[in-house]
Amino acid sequence: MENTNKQETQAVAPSSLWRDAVKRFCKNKTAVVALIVLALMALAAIFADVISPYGPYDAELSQVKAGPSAQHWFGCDENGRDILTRILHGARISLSVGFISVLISTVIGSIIGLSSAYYGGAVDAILSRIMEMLQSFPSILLAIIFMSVFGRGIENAVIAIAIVSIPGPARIIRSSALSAKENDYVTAARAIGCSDARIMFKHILPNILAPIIVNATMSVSGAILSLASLGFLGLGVQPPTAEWGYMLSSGRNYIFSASHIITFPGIAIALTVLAFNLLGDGLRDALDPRLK
Amino acid sequence: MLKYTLKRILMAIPVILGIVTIVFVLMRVFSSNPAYLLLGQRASAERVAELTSYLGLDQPIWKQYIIYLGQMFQGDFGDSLFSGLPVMQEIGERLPATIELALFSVLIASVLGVSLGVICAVKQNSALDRICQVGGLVGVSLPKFWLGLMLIILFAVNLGWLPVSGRFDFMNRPETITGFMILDSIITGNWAALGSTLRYMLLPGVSIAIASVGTIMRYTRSTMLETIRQDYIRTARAKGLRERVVIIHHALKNALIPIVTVIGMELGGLFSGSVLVETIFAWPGVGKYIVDGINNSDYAVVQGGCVLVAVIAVGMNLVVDLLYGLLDPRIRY
Amino acid sequence: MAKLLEVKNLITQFKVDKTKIISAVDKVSFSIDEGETLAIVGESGSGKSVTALSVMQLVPNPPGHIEGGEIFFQGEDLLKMSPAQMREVRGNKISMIFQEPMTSLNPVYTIGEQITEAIRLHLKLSKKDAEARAVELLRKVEIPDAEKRLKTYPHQLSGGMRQRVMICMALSCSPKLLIADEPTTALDVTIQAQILDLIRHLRESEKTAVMFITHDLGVVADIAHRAVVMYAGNIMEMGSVHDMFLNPLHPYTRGLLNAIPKLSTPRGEKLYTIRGIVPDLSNLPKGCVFSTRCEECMEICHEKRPPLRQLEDGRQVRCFKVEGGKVIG
Repeated sequence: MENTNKQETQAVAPSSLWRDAVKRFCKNKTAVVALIVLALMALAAIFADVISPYGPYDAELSQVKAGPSAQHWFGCDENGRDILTRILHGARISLSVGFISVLISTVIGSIIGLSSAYYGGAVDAILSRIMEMLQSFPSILLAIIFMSVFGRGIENAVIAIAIVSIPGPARIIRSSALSAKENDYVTAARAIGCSDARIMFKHILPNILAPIIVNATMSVSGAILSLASLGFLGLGVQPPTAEWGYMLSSGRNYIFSASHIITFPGIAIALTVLAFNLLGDGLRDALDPRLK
Repeated sequence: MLKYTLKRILMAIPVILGIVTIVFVLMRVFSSNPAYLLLGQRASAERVAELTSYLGLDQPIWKQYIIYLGQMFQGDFGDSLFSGLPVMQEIGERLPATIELALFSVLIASVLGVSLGVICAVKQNSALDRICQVGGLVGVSLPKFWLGLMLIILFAVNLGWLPVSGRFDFMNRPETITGFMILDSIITGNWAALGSTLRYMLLPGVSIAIASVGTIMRYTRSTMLETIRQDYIRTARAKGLRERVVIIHHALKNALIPIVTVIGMELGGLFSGSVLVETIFAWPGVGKYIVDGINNSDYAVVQGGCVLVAVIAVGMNLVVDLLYGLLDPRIRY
Repeated sequence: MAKLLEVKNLITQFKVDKTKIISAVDKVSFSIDEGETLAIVGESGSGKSVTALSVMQLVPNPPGHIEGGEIFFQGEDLLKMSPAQMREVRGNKISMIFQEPMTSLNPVYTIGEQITEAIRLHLKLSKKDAEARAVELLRKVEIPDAEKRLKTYPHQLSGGMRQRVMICMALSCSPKLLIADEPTTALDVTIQAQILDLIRHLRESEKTAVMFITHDLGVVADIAHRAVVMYAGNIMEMGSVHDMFLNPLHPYTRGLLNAIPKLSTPRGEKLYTIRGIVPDLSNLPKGCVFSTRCEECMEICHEKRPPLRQLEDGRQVRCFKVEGGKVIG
């Protein structure tokens, strides 16, 4: 029985490999729900101004620390600003910082991982040591130092988060590339005189895309958590920008009197991070059924 | 074994040196002169110059680096700009609190994570398994500091069962012997203090542990599922052993080898988590010390604290690596 | 002689996916007498290993389960036993050795720990006595330096040595029945002969019945008294090894026998092979399960499934071409 199954999976043409993955992904209900939630969140963030009658900085003195109501679904914060509106605007920042920093770290990590695996020897030893160094540093600590030295701001946050998350993709891509490198098609490519860069990016990279995509998806959730942590420590974006971590930090003083101020932004973070994790899980099962 | 241990320790040295260098570059090359911070923006140029030279910051950067390295190797992390006390001494006072909390959390995380993971693997695809899988992912997704705040609201503010923050109350404080309060309470036989200590530790411990519970549980489950399919498990069943013995004795002992690695990797994460959680719970540990140092622009504190935490993380990896060899008889160095 | 094991109409099924269920063992009946060695022969996928695992009730579940039938052991139906009663039988009265000695021993325990485990469990011996027995057993399976070996781990032993340890474990509680599931397949030829020799020797001295599962008819002639030939979950032929080798009745049995390389085969002549491959169990032919590969297939074979018929001399065969102990036409 097992044999016939294996033969079937091996027999599929490469073009339908992705179609199969899509089919498997669609069968996974939780992952599809996660994708829909994220899509809705992204839409809500983009159209925040249309959806909400309030602005993120509109303060109503009468509504200071007001609890949830028909006018303000999630209540208002210590300055009388609508929390739901600020969460929607915060989603813009969290999602874009998440995406951009992961894009940077994945690209850099891929290059490092690929070179490490492809050249081996001294290159591998040095790059692996550097990655180990970055990794043994508790990542949030490095990001904290970076932010405290270079100052608050969304660009710095992106750079800090990207730097600390480079080792993840680098390590995964190195190990996948190491096994992909042994394949005959790589030897064949080398035999016909392809350049190193061409072999790495044309022949090895496409074959290890699956783990890269899965890792990147999971990394977005890590990046969102890091941004929130930085914001909470007052090291993220400039106040009074609506950012989830900063909202938690400023609402923290009112946990006794108005706990809703920190409840809702926290739920927003947790929900987004969870959705990315579920999506990553689903993608892994869909792209590489052997990993299940 | 000894040779391998030495080799591993030697390999850790460049890593630690690199960390020390990164911290130095960030703190000294890119930071503004701390003399301004200490004296305020309106200080006279002479005073600033005097303090700068007193701190050794007027030297060329490479000279500063060599002096800094030399001091590091002697265990001298400089004096805190704020309190004037040696950083090493201040960290020494705070380290037991951080280690105690980290060990407490790793204990919660491992015990819960491994046992839930085993149960899920045995009852694969049951309702319990599905709930745990989703629950584990939720745990990984919660921001630790927010979870801490929520726990405070629920258990400390609303229910009043547990203290809001801090590490001890003055009524029930054990005599300091080791600095580890659980240990001190047990040594002195002060059971009231032990109870009180655990009550203070519970909320921060759980806040840090929850994410690791999820990770360890999910990993244990998949490793166990793989192990249960092995031939030697069938052999164990063929002997007529009870299913519980087969699972715990034969399967778990094999699965534990990779699980220990993951727990070791989580330890690093626990230290990261403790930075924020310590701040929330006013836990007098190294994490809070570093964050305070950052807020005060106390570069000596940040430098020393970060280097120390990184060295601990490297050391932890080393221990896990060596532990691996103990668990797996196939590995002989 | 008294019947030790009697399997009646055993059906073991596997769930392939949500809707598809296949019968890996389909209404199989056979028996083993005390002290007798019965060989179950067949290609991979014929259901011979599943039959063995069914007797032990070790069929991986899910996806497999025993759908029906009875398995009487010393007069008691194993399938009606509680899990606790079945554990008492396993490793004690019935024990099993497996095909893969390399992976069948637990890598994190020493040989001694693994052998004494069953002894202490079933014979209720102390740790020390169990170890003494283990040493004695290791000597019996001809492992040198028995005391020292107790403290070694599986990875320090060769495949042949590990299989000896497996045999030693299986014999540790003096079982009535030893199930050997292709115990020599994974081993080198010279080691194979040694292990077969050992099993033959031990079954005499321990008076143990053996259910010997193999795909190799050569081994059958070497070790078994009687043989069952299985194909696609069905018994095709059963009888004494002597009769079967002298006068094979079923075309499949004849095919298997012809496929054994012989010294008398002239040089350069191609070895005989049975054409085709084992059919997919979820898509068996309507008639005789062997009809797709049979060289002597008749029209009726495509239409009806032949019954397993008992012949006068006690042999059983499932073929329309066999009449009164002879192959007709």
